Amino acid sequence: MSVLGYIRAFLGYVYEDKLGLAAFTVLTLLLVFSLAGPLVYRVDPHAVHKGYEVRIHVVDPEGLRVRGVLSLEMEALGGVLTPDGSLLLLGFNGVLYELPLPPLARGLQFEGEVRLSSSSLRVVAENVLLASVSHGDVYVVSMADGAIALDRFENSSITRLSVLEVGDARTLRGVVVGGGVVVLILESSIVLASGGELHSFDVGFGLSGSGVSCWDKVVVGGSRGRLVVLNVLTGEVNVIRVFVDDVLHVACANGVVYVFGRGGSMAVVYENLSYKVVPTGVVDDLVVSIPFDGGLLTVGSMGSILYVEGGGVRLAGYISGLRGVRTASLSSGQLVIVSFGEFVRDLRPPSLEHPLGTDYYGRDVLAQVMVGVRMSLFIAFVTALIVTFIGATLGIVAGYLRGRVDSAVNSLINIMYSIPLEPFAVLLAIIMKPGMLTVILAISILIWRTTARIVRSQVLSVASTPMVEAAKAIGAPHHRIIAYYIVPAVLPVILVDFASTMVYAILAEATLSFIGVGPQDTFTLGTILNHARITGAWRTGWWLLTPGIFIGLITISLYILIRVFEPIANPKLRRT
Amino acid sequence: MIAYVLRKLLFIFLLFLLILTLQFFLFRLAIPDPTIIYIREGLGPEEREIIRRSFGLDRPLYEQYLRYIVNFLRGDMGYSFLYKEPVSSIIIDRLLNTLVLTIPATLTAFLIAFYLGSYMAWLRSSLFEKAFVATLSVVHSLPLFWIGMIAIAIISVHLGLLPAGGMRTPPYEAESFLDKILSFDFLKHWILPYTVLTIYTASYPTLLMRGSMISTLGEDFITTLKAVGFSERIVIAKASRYSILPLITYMGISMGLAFSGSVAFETVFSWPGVGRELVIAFYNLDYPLAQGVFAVMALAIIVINTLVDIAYSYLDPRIRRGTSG
Repeated sequence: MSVLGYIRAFLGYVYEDKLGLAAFTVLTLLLVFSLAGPLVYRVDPHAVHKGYEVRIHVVDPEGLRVRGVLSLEMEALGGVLTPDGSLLLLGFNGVLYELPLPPLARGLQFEGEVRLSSSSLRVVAENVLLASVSHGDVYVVSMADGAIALDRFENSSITRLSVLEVGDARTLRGVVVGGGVVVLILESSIVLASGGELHSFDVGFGLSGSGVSCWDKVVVGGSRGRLVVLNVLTGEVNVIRVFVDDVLHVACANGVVYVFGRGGSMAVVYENLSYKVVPTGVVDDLVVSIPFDGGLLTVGSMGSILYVEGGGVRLAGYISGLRGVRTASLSSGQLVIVSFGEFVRDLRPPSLEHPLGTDYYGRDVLAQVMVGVRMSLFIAFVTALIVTFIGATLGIVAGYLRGRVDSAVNSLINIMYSIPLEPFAVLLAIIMKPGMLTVILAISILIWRTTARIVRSQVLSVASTPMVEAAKAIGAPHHRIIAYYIVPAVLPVILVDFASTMVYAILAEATLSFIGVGPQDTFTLGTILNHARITGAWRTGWWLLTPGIFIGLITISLYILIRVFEPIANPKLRRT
Repeated sequence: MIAYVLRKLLFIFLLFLLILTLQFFLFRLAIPDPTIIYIREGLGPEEREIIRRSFGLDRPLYEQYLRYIVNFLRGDMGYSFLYKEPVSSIIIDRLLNTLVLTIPATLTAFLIAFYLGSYMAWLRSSLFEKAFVATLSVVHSLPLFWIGMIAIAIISVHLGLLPAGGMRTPPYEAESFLDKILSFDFLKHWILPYTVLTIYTASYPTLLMRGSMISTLGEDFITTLKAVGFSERIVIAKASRYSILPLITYMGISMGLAFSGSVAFETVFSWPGVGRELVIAFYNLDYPLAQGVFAVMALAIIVINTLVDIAYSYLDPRIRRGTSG
């Protein structure tokens, strides 16, 4: 019979059995999925997916417990929390959006992460340079016909305060409003606007954009601990230097100015401009302070929370999972911390973009599963080939020759049966190193025992048939008898056993890769589960457990096909 | 019978010796200098030589081999690199932890398999039976460790009913093994892995028992029993007793599988047994510990296989004669 004839016979048998047909279809679909899938779904399984995001952590200010996280996919340039509980976000296109945060304002409790869609954003203004909070009020600075406009934001609407004819305002870093004056902070100069007059002061070093109005002065932070102190009444400008790194923000409370710098540095400046350095004990960039309980609550960019009171500072705690903190506020008894930037999209549940979610490192699980199904099937196929070759050869030789050869092979089979697979594979991985070869070798060295046993007993019964006896009697050589009488008779059994070995190899590969013996540079269904275990992410990320379903689909389909073909291959098993 | 048992004991001994020999030469071939883990930067050649000598690595290979075998047989498996403790005392502790899970699970599983298998053969072709057979086949087709992961994710993490892993709630310092397991806290940790292991272990033998029972129910003596007018219960009881032989054969295999399967299973449940210890030894390249665990597991499987052989020869005298003649 030709190869085509065999295929036709195979398909015929499969077609007769409804379950068999289903199993065959599932296996074919899985093969198509793993081979053609990557052509359609072009996602690199190793690629770490990142994206710009705004994350809003709602924290209990007493216990510093995170109550929930809101996140929004957006590339933000700046952000300001308003006293009435909404978030103003400045996009890279100069558009200022308002994001109402009603659940936070009403003090609702929620758990977990809530994703917001960009449809909840409302456009407030365009051509905006920056938005800033100064002494409890929100100010918006925007470009207007070559001049800049200063607006106040209140109750979701803006009211124009003044238009300032400042020449080049593209380098605007911040604005301070207080004491009847407006101070614009540019890259290395400040502009004082009081009573319709503009006074520009060039300071000659970089300014951070953070300033505060305290006493009768405006204090603006600069690089390397330098502070610009502008006397609002006299227009006099002083530069002092305190012993902190680049000033990130300044705050005024209890009649003193607190200066917070990069890397956790901090100083207190008194009205007579003498200062004191305060050790904070953290290395976080201290980005924002909010009035709290008679003092200040200072938040670091990586989640440190400091409590500042008088001349002292106390580490209140640390909120894990915070990165890139930009601003924070305290409203309705809840601490709201806003961070934004480019984040790794880790542990995302299934979505249109990632149909099986992402793993701990932000890699696409579906792309991994496609590679995993392919690699697992490949490893199982190669293993089954080796196992069938060794097992069938030894089984035929032992069953046909009998005597000493048979007992030698039998002893070898018995020795193999006394070696447990997983521990043997681990030992092999210690000696060689983890990898695909180790998995294939560990399974094939041991598992031929079952094949050899089955084939041997089959050969024993075939070898005593009159046909073989007759061939021996007329003096046919051994190789001829084996090739023409034995092999054709046991081939169906060998083929069915090949499928059983594949089932075994699929499960064994998954188990071995799961304990870390498998390939390290590619994905199999077992290694995906291993990554999920090592990172601890599988306990909550259910989508990381989906490779198990694929393992089950493969093994169950193969079992059903075995069930279809077993009675055909071995008529002794046929039952009425 | 006694001669047969003695021959089997000799076989166990020789097989174990063979495995130890293979293990010794495999390791020596792949890792010529095991002291590499002790040798730090800045050690001169003389210090290295002292370390090598203290481990006996300056002796000829055959002497090292003999000493390795003799020490192993005396129960001295060397010192663990990781724990700085004798490997044998670590293994005894972990082995008890493994057995306290595998033995009850295997026994329960086979008890379930016996009764459920016979019952399902009796209910053959009913919708309930078909659904049950399908469920058992699915359970048997999935990796055990994955079923454990699902169970933990649902029952421990999502519902918060049981602890997600370990044997006792830390911090805990056991005074003895009994002290460790005789407590409600232990029971809470034990019940989930025990249940998962039992269900998984029972899946295949139940199908086996069902198949065996179906063929027994087709035998003539069952028809006779029915014709005589024995009640259904008695017929099932008689038939199931005749169908038990394949189950006993499989029990030996199943115990062996429980040992090797414990590697992944205990890792999922953070169960401090021999299997998880092997994974720890693997990640820390603790050669003596890995060798000790492997040898003990192999020995356990050889002993179980032999016990099954002996039990079988007791049940079926033809086997005994077959091997001696």
